[in-house]
Amino acid sequence: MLSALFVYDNKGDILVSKIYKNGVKRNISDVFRIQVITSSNQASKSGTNVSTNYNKSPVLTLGSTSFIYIRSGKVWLCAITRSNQDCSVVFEFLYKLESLLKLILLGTNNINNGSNSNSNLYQLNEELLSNNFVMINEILDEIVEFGYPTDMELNHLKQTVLSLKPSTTSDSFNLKLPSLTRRKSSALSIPVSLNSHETNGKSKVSWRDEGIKYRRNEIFLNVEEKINILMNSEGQVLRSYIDGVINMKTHLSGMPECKFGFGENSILLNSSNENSSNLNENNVILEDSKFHQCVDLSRFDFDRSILFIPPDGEFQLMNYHCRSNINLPFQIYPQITEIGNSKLSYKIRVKSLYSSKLPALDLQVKIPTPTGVLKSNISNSSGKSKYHPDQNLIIWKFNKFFGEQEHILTAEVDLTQTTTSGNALSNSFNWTRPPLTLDFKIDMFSCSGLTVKFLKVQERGNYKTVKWVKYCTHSGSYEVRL
Amino acid sequence: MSDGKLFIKSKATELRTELDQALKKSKPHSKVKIVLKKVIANIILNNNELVPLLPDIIKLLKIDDYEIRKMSSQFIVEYGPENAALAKEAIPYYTRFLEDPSPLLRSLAIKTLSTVKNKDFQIISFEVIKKLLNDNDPEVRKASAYCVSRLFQNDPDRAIRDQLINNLNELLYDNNQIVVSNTLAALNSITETNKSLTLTIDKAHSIALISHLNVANEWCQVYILNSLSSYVPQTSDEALELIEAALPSLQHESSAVVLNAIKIIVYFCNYVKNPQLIIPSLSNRLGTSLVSLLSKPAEIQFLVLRNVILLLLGRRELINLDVEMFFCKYDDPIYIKDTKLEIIYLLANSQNIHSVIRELEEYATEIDVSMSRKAIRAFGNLSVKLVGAAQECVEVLCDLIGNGIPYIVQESAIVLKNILRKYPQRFDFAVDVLLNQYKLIDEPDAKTSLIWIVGQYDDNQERSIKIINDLSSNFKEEPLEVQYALLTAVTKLYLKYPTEGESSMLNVLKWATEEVDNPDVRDRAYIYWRLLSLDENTSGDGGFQEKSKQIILNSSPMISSDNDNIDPKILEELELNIGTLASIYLKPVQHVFRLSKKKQLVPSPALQPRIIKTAEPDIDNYNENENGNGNGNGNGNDNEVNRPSKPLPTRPNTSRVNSSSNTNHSHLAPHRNASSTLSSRSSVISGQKSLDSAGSSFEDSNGKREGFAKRLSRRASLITNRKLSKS
Repeated sequence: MLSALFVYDNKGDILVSKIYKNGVKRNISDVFRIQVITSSNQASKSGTNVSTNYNKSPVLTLGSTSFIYIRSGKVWLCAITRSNQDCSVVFEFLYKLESLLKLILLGTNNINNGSNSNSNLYQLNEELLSNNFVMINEILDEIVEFGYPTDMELNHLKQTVLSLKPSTTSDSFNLKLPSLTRRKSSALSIPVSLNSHETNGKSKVSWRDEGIKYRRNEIFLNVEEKINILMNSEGQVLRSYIDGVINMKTHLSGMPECKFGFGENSILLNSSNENSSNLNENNVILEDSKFHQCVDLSRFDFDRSILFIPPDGEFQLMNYHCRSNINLPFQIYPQITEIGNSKLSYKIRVKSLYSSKLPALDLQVKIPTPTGVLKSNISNSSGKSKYHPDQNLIIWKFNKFFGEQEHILTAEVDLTQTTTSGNALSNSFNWTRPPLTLDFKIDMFSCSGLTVKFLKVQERGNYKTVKWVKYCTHSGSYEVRL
Repeated sequence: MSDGKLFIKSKATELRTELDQALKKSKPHSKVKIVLKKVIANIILNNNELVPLLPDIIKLLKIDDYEIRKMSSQFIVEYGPENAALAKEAIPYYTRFLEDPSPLLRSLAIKTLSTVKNKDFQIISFEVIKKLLNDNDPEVRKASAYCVSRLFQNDPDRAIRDQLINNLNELLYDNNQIVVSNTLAALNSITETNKSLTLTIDKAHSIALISHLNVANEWCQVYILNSLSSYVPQTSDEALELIEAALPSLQHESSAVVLNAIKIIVYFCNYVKNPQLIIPSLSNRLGTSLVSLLSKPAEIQFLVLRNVILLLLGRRELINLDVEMFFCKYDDPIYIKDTKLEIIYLLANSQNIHSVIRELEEYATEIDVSMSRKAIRAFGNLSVKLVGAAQECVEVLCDLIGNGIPYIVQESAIVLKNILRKYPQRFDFAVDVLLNQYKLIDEPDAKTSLIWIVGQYDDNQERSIKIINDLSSNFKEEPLEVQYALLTAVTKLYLKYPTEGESSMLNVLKWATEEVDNPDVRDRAYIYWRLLSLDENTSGDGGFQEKSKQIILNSSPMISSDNDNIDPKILEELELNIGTLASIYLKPVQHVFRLSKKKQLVPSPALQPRIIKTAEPDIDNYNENENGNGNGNGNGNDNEVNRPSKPLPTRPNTSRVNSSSNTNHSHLAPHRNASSTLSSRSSVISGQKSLDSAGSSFEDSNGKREGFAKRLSRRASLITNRKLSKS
């Protein structure tokens, strides 16, 4: 498995280094810096294209040594392996490590990456890592043994990594631990001592400690769907699918056994006797659902019931795909005509197809234009629109866009002559014609039509549980080809 | 205060003073920790000047604080080997820790002892490890299991002599699943480096292991699944049972678990005849679980896509995939788009060809030049692969050429060459479209193709001669392959139009024999010259240059796309390595990693012979559907599924004979190779083909079979920058 692990900052300076096995020396880190980081920095400096490094493959093999790496914000995480190792484990490990660090250092969970996950606030950077290098070093000792990842659950780490313990008082780290602080306030204190470890090891499930207690038992269930649509310019859907996740947050005492079920029209595919021909039009068909490790998969395979003992705190219970019977929220009809060789006229029609009571929030239509726009003249039936020359986009915004409505934007842009002259490209404007994109968020709407029917919590303590269920639909890549 | 300002390089003397000051205090803990943090920073920053601190750090071990001891141990692990005599002082502390009631301390002690490579440390470790393997705390047992692999790494002989492997084997029956799965991982690290040791698992144990899957965390699941491939099923029923047991893991959220589950399912499928018929949902489940991994980050997608290619090449019947899911997204990184195009090509069949062509057309008109070229190349490959698609592909290509964008025209020229070879006479209209744009062509590859097309297929005398005259005006400066192509083309033109073609033929042959320095070009020109001036040609009852025409104006041998198949042996090994690095490169494992251990299927009564696919299943499909004798094989998928069990119809057989007779002539195959070795054993007639060859490459049949494999791995190497040195 892993022979070594390095984390670099943007310039290629080392922030974390860990050697797990014989066969590599510490100075192997220089090879990666020279081969990948420096060359990608040079490329992005000299080339106009920022995305050069982005186009490099994530694996570099020199001799028997492979460098497997990902980028997160401004840092590089690079694992070094010898010979033919399981690449899937390595990548999965790097991404789990990334989200673990984010969770600990930033207090955000990677799972609910909303629209703001790109902003710098939520990214790892060198300052954050060097401020916590002792803790990270310690974590890396715990989650990997001899190059093999063993256990990356935060709950497990809280017991072995001293700097993560809530009782740490001697050092004040620059870290926020929302789940910890919350737990402190709402739960009775959990005895954590060196010896408690012994009992934990014997606990049947590795992701949940025994003896968790809350005064108020709550369980939150969020159905979050990301809809991905690709339409052609006639408004026909070329590709559509939904990536859905069900996130949970549990504040439950003891060892609760939870069970939940979907509405009757929901069908979880992958059953052995499926046959897509006899599925009803109205059914919600969830394909290849993937579950958190706490879900009893053999039970699911047997009778489709979702049974689990949840870990404490936030986690992603399942994710799924849906490709059929999708409730399309928006239909878009773009019309672009070229007037002469220096003018483009746009007419974009957006129609909402969901219930008129629901609003879509923060709707943005991004309409690409060629470079070198001299003058733009935009008018629209509703919302706000503006031309952004730096991005070559017309952005059309709505704070709220209710269902069963239709709005139109018309625009004319004048282009400089230079962009049109001198080349014989297929479209007379030297223009990549990127797709028009749509960003939005609709609460209490699931485009797959999925509904949660029941959610049961059973525990020996027989306490009452407050349950919250929320639905939300985001736009993933909602694109219309022009 | 944060640790950021401690993250600096320091000098040993500074740290020693700080440490001494700290120790003077009544409660030194927090100050000592700060010094130790600086020490850790220096280890991370690879500062080797701290070795002299060794005795000071060892003394810290007596402070009863786990954090201090842990950090000190890290120092000893790092710098202990630099000064064995001093490091020895630490051993008594650790032997004491081994008896400590705290399991954390016991783990720390054995980990440190086994990691420091000094002889003294190793000797102690070997003495105590057996006891710790039987510790009553599972965490200690787990840590000790890994310590065994560490000891094995340092001194394999001693480890075998001490029968540590046996002790690990016993741990496999531990009642704690975490210990069991981590022991499997430890054993795996031992077996992968040692040539003589292999893991074997019996049936009862494999079933016991599977029962752990439910409660294990994702990493443990990976280790358990991986170890199942060490079990050799003796009957098909056993294999089926294990396949079904592994199926639930396909639902796991982690790509590592899913890929490992796929790996062992595919492995067990080797021991079942037609598993996809016995478990009808199998191909759907494998397909959807792969597709769902495409919502993962790009790097993981890349790995998954490479494995999809692998499975499509070797196990087409086991996975059911929708080509639409592999259409490129606007913002996919290049390496993903590349791999997706390859998959689209592999998945295209007569049912989905329309949407595939629409999609490729979209890519071809993209502004990204490399993408557009690849899309055009895909058109070429598709029309060679699918007879039914050729017409549509060529029409799209003609549209694209008509737009007159240089790089599109050039790439299309290369592609058209293959299409025309495959379907002579059928697409003469495309020749016209291309030749109208010939002025845009300036790349050697495209030029070569264009010249060949003119020589072979253009019937418009005036135009051909004009083009060839134009292009040959610069003959001496052209690259080698263009010179070859020109030589052949002028000779052909002369044979077709003796009077009009004569002057350009004479010019070119003259340049080639008198002014070009390259002996190959010269020799080739001489061969043509002599051929044209043979007595048999000029005299006798035949027409003008009868013999030369026979040789030179011959129709070229057929090409086909059946070189898609990688050698089944290689596929077999790669399938045992699904998800590993070798699956990214799609090359024989030993070519990529010289030292890696060879994996192969272990024979058992249940082992099924591998079905070697016959040539061009899709064309057969197409023909069958067209002739209306589909035998109730409703759609292409059924067809695919049934194929192995059906007696093969005659047509594929003949086409196989055809294709094998072609294997010598790969010069115009869809992929372009650049090797130039002339075969000496070929007769004059087949020698003509080599003379005619655009790329002049002669490969043996093996090389041909691996053609696609080479292309794939070359592409992987290109995009992964792998240095191709020795292989």
